[in-house]
Amino acid sequence: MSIFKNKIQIILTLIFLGYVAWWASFQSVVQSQGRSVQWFGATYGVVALIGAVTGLVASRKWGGYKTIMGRALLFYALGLFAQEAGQIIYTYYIYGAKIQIPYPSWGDLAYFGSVLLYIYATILLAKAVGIRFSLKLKKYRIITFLVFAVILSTSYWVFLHGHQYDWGKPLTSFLDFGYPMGQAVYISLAVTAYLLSRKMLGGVMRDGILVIILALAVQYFSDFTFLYQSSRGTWLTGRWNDLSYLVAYFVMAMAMVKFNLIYSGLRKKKSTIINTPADGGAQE
Amino acid sequence: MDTYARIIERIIKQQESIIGPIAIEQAERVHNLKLDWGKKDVEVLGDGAKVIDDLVEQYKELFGKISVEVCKEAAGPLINQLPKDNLPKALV
Repeated sequence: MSIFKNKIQIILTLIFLGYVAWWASFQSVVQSQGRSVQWFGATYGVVALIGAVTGLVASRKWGGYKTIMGRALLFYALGLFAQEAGQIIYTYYIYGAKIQIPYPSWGDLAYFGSVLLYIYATILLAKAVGIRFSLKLKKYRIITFLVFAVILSTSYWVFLHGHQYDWGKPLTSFLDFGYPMGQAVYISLAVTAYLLSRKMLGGVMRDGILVIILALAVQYFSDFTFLYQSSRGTWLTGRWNDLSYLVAYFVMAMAMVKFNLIYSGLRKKKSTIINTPADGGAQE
Repeated sequence: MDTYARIIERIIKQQESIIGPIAIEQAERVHNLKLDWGKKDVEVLGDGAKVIDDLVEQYKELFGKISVEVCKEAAGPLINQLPKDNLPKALV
């Protein structure tokens, strides 16, 4: 079983490196948006799809919806599914229906859905790493407030300051506001979870949780860049932003694999407490 | 069920709510602790304080100090009912 899971890790890495090599191969001609660029943009979400399936398996092992860790993994997996769904829908609009992507569209349902799924998953992750214990201290409550204040106000200032809302289209206005602020919320939660747990978080779960937080950071960087470039009309398929999305999917997928491996490791491990005397031993 | 066993039950339940069935597998590895979790039956053989310490140590392997805090929180309402001269060190 462990070999199988390591195989997933190896296959995922090879697919990722293959996509990176493919991305590098067309950079000199990316402006022409040729067929290779189109196919790259349409298919690299397969990394998210593999991560999503792996995440569903991991979630089930960690108790599924009934437990905090299982539910967190479930919602990260659904977030990855939503990313892939958004990519497929956008690809259909551009290359299948050959139309300008409508806004809002079904693709936004998937992409904005992934933001909400990541927010909920990260709330659960923060719960799992016990931030409530740190929040008992005033110092950590101030840190939490500062993290949210800085990230949310920066997002607001970059994307929404002076923005003209079209109140005749409430859904459009909602998404104009919801995308940057929703993304700012999940990264604020992730940064808070990291800062408030870094001194106490240890054990075999530490690495898996840190990889998830890293994946969220890369995802946020990608989302931020996408919004920034598309709001200024400079976004193009196959450039740096697609590469950073590919990295975000890969890191999150590796986190999902990691939780499968942690589970297998724990099940195999023999008890560490083997020398306890039968009578309980002397008390100090 | 004595107080040590009730504390152990609460700790396992709390850990189970976070990590699922692996919490029970971890507890089953603790020496001098007999579980029939389907019936929520917990039996402590020997020194209860030592068994709790070993259980907390087992969970500590998962999340480090955070696991210890979770165990302390779970045991909180019952800890005062234990004899003062035989408290589990991990929960003090």
